[in-house]
Amino acid sequence: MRQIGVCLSPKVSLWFENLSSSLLLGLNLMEVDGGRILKVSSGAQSIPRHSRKHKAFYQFTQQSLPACKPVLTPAWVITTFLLMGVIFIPIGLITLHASENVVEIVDRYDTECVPEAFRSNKVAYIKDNSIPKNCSRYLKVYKHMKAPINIYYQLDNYFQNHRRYVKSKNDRQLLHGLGYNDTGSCKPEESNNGLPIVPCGLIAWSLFNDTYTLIRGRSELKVNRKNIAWKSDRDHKFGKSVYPFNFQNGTLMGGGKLHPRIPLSDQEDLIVWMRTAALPSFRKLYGRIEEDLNADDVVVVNVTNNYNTYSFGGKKKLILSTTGWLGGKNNFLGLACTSVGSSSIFISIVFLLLHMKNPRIL
Amino acid sequence: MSGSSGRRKRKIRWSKLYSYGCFRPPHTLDSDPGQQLLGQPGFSRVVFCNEPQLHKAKPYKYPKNYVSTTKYNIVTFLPKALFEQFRRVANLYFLLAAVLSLNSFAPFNPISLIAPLVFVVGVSMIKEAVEDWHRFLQDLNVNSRTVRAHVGGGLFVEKTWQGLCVGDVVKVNKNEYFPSDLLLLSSSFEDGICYVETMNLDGETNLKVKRSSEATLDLANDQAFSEFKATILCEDPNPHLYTFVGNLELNCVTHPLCPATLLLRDSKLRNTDYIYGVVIFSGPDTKAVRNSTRSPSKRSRIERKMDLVIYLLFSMLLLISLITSTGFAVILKSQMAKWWYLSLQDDDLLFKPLKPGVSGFLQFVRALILYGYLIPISLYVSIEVVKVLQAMLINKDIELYDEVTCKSVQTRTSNLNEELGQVEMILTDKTGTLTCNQMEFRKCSIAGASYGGNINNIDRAASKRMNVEVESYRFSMDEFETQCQSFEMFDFSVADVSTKKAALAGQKHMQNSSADCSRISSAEGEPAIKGFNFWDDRLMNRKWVYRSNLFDVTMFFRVMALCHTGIPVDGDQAHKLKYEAESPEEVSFLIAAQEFGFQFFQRSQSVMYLKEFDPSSGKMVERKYKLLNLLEFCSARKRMSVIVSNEDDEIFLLCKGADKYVIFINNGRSYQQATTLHLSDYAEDGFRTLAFAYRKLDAVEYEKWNSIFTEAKTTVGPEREEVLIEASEMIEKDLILLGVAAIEDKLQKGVPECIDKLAQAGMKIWLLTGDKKETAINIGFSCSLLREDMKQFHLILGKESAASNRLKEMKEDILNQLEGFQKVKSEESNKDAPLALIVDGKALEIALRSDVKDQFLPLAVDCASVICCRVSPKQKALITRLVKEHTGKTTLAIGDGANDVGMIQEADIGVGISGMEGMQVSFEHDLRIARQPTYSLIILFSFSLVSKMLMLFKYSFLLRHYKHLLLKIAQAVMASDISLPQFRFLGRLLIVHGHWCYKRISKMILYFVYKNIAFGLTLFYYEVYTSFSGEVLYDDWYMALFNVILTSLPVISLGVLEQDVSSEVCLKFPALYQQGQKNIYFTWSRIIGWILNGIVASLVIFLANICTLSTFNKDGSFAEKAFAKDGNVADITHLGAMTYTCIIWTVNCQISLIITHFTWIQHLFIWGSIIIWYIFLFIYGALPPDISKRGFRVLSEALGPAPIYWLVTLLVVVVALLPYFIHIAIQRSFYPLDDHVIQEMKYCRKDIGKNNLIWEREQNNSVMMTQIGFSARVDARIRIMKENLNQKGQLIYRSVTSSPIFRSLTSSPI
Repeated sequence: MRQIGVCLSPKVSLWFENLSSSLLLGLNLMEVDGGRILKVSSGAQSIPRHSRKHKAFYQFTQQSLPACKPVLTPAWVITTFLLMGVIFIPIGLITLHASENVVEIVDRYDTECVPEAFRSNKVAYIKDNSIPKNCSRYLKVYKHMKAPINIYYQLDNYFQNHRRYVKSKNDRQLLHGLGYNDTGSCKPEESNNGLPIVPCGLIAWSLFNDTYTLIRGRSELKVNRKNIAWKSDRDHKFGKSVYPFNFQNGTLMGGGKLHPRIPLSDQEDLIVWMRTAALPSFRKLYGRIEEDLNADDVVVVNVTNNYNTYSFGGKKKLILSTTGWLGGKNNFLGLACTSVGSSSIFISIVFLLLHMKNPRIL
Repeated sequence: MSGSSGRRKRKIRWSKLYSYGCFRPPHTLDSDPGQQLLGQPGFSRVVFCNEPQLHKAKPYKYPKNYVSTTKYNIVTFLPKALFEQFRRVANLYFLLAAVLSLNSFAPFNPISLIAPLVFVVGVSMIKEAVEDWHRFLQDLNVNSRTVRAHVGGGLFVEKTWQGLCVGDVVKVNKNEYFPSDLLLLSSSFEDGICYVETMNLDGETNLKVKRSSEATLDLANDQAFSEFKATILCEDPNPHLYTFVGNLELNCVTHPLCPATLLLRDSKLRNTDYIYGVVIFSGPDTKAVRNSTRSPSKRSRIERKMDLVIYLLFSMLLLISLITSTGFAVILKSQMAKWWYLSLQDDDLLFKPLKPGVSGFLQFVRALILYGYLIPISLYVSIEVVKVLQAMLINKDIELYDEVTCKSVQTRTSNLNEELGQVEMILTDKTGTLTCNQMEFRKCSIAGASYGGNINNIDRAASKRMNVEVESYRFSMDEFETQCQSFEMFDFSVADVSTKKAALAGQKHMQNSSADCSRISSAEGEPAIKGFNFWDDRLMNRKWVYRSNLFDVTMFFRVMALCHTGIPVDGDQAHKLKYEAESPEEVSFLIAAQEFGFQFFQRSQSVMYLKEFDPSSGKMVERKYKLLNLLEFCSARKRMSVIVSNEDDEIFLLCKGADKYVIFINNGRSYQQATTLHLSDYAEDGFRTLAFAYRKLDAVEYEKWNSIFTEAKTTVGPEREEVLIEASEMIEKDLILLGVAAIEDKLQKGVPECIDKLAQAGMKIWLLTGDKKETAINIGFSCSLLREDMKQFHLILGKESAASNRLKEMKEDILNQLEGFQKVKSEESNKDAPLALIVDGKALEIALRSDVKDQFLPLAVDCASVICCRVSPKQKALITRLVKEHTGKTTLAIGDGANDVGMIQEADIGVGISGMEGMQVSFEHDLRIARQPTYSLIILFSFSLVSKMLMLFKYSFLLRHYKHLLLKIAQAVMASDISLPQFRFLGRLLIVHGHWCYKRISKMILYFVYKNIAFGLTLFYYEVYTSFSGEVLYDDWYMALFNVILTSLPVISLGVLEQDVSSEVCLKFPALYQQGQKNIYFTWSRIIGWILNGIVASLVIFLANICTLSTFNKDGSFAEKAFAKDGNVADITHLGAMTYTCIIWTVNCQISLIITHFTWIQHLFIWGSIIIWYIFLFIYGALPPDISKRGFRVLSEALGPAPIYWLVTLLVVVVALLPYFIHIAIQRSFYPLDDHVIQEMKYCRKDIGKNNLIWEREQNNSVMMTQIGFSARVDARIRIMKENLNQKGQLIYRSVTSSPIFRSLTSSPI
């Protein structure tokens, strides 16, 4: 060891002795051993050389690791902005195009579906179970819609993301049923007659219960209400053997009811509803129409207007929408990308002009 | 030390040499009031010598000789360290948050709050523990040194220091440290004296004489102690170094003990073979330990400002919490009751519409915790980690490694790293710091002829630069007007210099010195003989025999060889001897005399033996000189003399001393004027000068005087000193001046260059020294703190006011002087003319009084350099504090001795010079400690806790620590924040590492603020959409990981590895350092800018995500829309994960815009962090839903396949970084800072090749304003030369224009 150390330049050998002393100390932390010092005999001279690892470590401690030091020269600035423009403008245009291809029909029905007589007191109307809640809406398809067409309901001013609301469920109960009795998080809808409500909590309790039937011409449009929830929810979060046997039996009536014989994993309306929306205005998937709708088709929607949004002034809307690769209709991304791209090019030109006018002299 | 010289030395009664000492009357009991106190409280200690077993039990049980400097022990560590941690406001806040999070209404689960807190506090505590562990090991090292102790029967065996007990008799050998406070019993000298070096205690380099009590003189060998028993009654342990009161009771006789019998721990035995002593104070009772103060914890300026930033963030937090809670209360009262789906009931206090105030308040508390991410919890721990790593890299820097002492720089406290980049004032000690306390004989002037060369470095460098400029003039055709003239002049000046050079042909050092301008101090080359750096063919190699005034030359050498107190010791070479003397000056004279052929080789009680070169025979002859009297050096006379008689019974008085005190009383000879001229030349070069003179006495006169002198010596009482001085002055008159010798107080290697660099970096350097004014000024010149054209103000107490000793008069005197200086200053035409202030200790004491300092300090701060001489350690500390407080600038104090401890502790940064002492600790011994496996295991364990990353460095930590063990740390080093082996490393430490660390830390803090705002505010924005109900956008795990894993490593790599420019460029452009002094990287505008940047980024991130997920209705409202092709709609989880992805990308890309130095480590950390996020999200989603909850399959099922997820990430990153990018683009293109310009030049390779001139021009521009330092001095010299040229030019011009021919030519009309 010492011999090798002597061959090295004093400073390096000193550093190396440090290493070897660590060996002496029996602290073989960096797996340092003499074998790693390679002797490269090139011709008559033999130059001892560190292995790469040693060299890197030495450079690290001396803060002289090879580094790239990008400097933002005017040329770089101009190029970068130009590049951004070149990338973003096409992306923006493609996105805009995709968004424009999405056909969306929106119909607000919450006020129209209340009979004239009850318009002044909608809350009383919706709470009165004796009054039939049926109502028909006529939707005109303005552009050809390719299947599958998603049917959404949209609620506005409905705070599904309210803290009290969000936490008011019990994931384990949803998956395992009565096996879990600790339903403290479900307050105040946790138990009925000493038994935990399945599914418990405010979210389930306030289940949306308007229903829609769609008729085109004479025939009823077939609405597929399967596979509307995330697959992972159906498979892993809602139990296949959990039945809502005592749901909505309490004194206080919330939203919709569930069929007590169908396991939760098949109650997709509930599963969709239980995914609490992020914003106070949200859409939820109701079902899909599996056939195309042609332009100028008139679709009659028979709505049963059960859900109470009147007491807090919420709106209800029915939406028929196709999807593109971007999902629903949204011009934001396209517009944003295009504007970022074009302003980048603008900035790039400004910089170019400024640079030409008074170039940097070093 | 061989036996023969030992024996030879034994013959000398040393005390008799010091002619005053032997006549000193012995202390009597009643003469010392202290003795009467014995037995009283405070003076009750009883020590039974040689009977340590008596001290094993009460009441005489004293502490062991174990010294501990650790802060904690195993029991006290936890409570004490925890208390320290929670004194930090931020930590307390997080503790509170963690406690509150246990409550049900808390937004997060408690673990996610408690875990980071535990981590943060844990890391800090582990750091404390490791540091304390180091101290423990250091203690262990000191405590396990060995000393020979008596075990009975005259047998001495090796014993560890910690095993020593009060009452033990120990034998300490030459150059060993005393293990505790010892009472000197006897020494290798018959009269029981010994020499002690107290450098570690008070910084004085002169050896001190200690003298044992007469009663114990006969205990001269090991055997004598078998029967020895005595009792000591003395004072209790106290911190006073210079007092000691005690009695020794031996054989029923009481002998008084004085401070001269006490050998203090931390001092060292010198010039004495061995001593015997008995331990009277051990371990914590020793005066040295009692005197030490723990260094106060210091915080850097940036960290203090960072606290303000934290407060700012805290008020932001309060503000948004207030908005949240008010909004919540309003909505709760007005609307929430109508939201039937919430089924609000009165039992829930959190949502009680009837009492919105209470619910609002609870919401406020919740919001405080929720938005806690605004306060970067991990900032503190990241900074700690970064600083430790920075410190480690500094310690590892091979450029800061001193190969002579085998030591490297040690950052003992790592929390001042960035402060190193902001230093504006350097207060430095002289001896041991700037100089290496080694004197070299450099020049002499004998009988009016100067020997040893004339040209100094300044002239040499200046002429070299002029040469270069002449070259460049030749090639520049623009300035043809003055060209011809200047040519001649330059050529003349250069020629002049070269003739001078030629005159000194044969001087070896001249050749290599002019080779390289940058190697200023090494220019002289290392002298072949230590202490003798003299080259002149006229004197060397016995050539002095051909000098005309041979007698003067011979006498000159005789004075050198005889007028001293030294003794010869064996040298390593056959015919050359080495010497030991009280002061290093004398040693260098003796060595010089030996070189000239006057070897002093033996001293007996009254005879000095010289081997002289006899010019007539050409052989060495031995001559005996009888030492008749020795008139010791004293500060009033400033000279010493010997009276000797030679073999022909001629009596000579040989005298050497400060020039003023010798020349003024000589009878005047023709060459006095020439000598004076040489004197001032030498002084300007920074040499210490001593004048030599002699006088021939006739026997009668001598006898007459001798009787007076003997009488004076035996005088008892306070007037004794005066009588002696009077007697000495009677004989020291009518001296004949022989010449002067110039001694260089050798500067440490590289000191002038270092000072030059520091000055260029804009630092002011104050020299604080305990030495006398002349020496201080000498050093001021030699390290270029002073220069010839500087206006010097000397602030010294006038004789009258000093004599009157009345405060009021002294104050008036000082104030008058200060006023005078101000006047001179304001009258000075050139405002930039450099000023220097030289203050004497006594004057300083007055000037620093509260009512005078307001006049004094502004003046002092204005001066380019300040030299304070004759200052006490306490004054050093006081100056440091006042300067620090008055100017508000960052001060750095550097020193090596214990006398600098106060200053070091007081300054913002204290630097200790680890010096030459204590190198001989045995290596095997340390290895033994190191091999004990438990220690290393504990270290390993503690480190593995810190984090995986630290593992990498663990081993270098260990290395450092073992190297550490090899050092005996002097007291100044113990008190310091950073220790350096040599002063010259200060330049690199500050200009390179300080600069880097400053930028790193300030960039790091700003980025931290940015990233936490960018993250924390998104939580707030989301609240607006949840009716301020307090729902959290992100999963708890995302939040917990944010600071700990996903964004921590890049910022640490920024803090550890960032370099704006490489170290070479830093050193080439010291002016870059001024960025730190002006603190332009951590101004409020920058801080606010980064906060705004964070706000913008958070807005962009949040709004872009919201908008992407929504669709806009025709009526202006928007709602969530289908997320992907299958028509499903996103929920909170998806929005959270998307937003979070954008945040991770944005903050990590932002840091890549900040970093200017990318090694593979930065790349790995930055891009690795982003990849880790995806990996985490994937794994988290793959876990069963019981664990992952809402995060179940979020990436694989929902986000991954959705194009908008990726698209929005791209868009957000670009848009969020756009403001910053535009800002730096504009700044760099149109308002570049210094470092930007240099970076760009480096990038475009402007520093090499043809365009070198631009690079050099920048370099010159950056050093223009400097006043002190070598370069500045050279500049000034060149300026003067050029002025002279100009004047000559004008003169010629005038003479031409005034000539009648010229006049007639111009006036004649054409």
